[in-house]
Amino acid sequence: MLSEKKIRMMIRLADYEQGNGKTDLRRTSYYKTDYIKVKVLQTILSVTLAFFLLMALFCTYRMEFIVSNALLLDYSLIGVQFLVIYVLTIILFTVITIGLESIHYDLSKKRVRKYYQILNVLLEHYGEEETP
Amino acid sequence: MMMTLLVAKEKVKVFYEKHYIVVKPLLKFLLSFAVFMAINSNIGYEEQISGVLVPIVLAFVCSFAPEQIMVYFALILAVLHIISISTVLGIALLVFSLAIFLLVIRSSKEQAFVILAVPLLTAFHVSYLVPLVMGVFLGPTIIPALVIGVVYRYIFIGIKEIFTTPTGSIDLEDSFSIFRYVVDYVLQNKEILLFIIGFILTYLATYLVRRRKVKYASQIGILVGAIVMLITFLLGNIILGAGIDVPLVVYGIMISVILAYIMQFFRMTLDYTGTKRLQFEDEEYYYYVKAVPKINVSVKEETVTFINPKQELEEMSSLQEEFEKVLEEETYHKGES
Repeated sequence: MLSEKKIRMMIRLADYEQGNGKTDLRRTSYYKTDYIKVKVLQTILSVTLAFFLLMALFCTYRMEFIVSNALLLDYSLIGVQFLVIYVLTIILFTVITIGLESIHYDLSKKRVRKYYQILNVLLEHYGEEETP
Repeated sequence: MMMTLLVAKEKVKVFYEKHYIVVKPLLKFLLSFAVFMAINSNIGYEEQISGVLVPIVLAFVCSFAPEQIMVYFALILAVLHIISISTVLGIALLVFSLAIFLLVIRSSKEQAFVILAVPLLTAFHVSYLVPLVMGVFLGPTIIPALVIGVVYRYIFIGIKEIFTTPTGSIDLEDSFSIFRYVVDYVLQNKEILLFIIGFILTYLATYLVRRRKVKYASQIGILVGAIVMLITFLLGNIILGAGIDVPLVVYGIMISVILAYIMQFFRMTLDYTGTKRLQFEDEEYYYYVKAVPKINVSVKEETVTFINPKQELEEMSSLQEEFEKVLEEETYHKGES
């Protein structure tokens, strides 16, 4: 026996699972703290690689100066300056990542909660149909 | 006039929905082809790829691939052209783009389109369209993409400037010399600061106004954004002494406003999947569902048009709203029983 109400619920659930649900269900399979830790780790790796790439570009741009003053440069001071810039960049991107991913996680959690609520209502429908 | 436009909009939507499978790849092909041809006509220094054949082939691939592929192809095409004049500059552009991808695009794919749009629309003097449209459609996380887009804009302007500088000021045979010239051009240009500030202020003005819960908030937001942009550029030109071409900027802003209104009116994206096809099963049946959205405006043969103003102004209900409706119904019925 086809139940229109049941079919409407299944359509909405299937649509969600094929759309936002893919991302939301994967995201909420982690605890919030674990998910944010993973994202922060990804950010640190990406920012570190990007920092080295930009540093290489900077050195290429100043190649002439570096080569002509190779013996006169204070490398320890330059190293400290780069380290400070690197640490500040990592802190900035980490804070942004924590903020944004917390918002994303909370929104996903809200949608998934509604998804499971409707799923429970659907299961109750099945339960009512089975009991005589 | 408004009714005619609304009817035309709905006819376009119905046509797009009906022939989505053909129209979407065709539109992607045309857009990609336009992008690659714009690159070839502006920085087409490598003769072997500056013809029509390469854009046609790349556009054909883009029409069936995810949208981001167009951005990556555009970057590779630009780098190949630049390598023909300076290997160092070409590789530096590739490295810089990789760093930008790791920092910004990795977390939000639509930023790549914004970064591509700014230098591309500069060729048509309507790059001012980007902050106006982004203010209407996207959230504040798009601001880094706007800034990077302006940087790319000046990188490509700097590359074109190489061939207009006085003879002797730059050695065109020296790869490093060309690379240093372009970097100096970007770093020492006051215009770039003016554009960054102008774009950010325009975006913020448009975004904050369109979020107001008033009628025609988006349209007012575009107008406010345009006015903010004009004032910023005029004042900034005086204060910073950037030396921008004021009539050209005014002309560009006016055209950008018109285009922004057209885009906002249609509000159609390439991802507009009006008709949805779903497949699922339960213990008794397999379900193959085709969900077709209803049309908002009905057109009678007697040329009488009925438009529901609430439906005209509100956006189609999202899945979340549908969820809440079904949930409320069930909760109500449970309460009754």
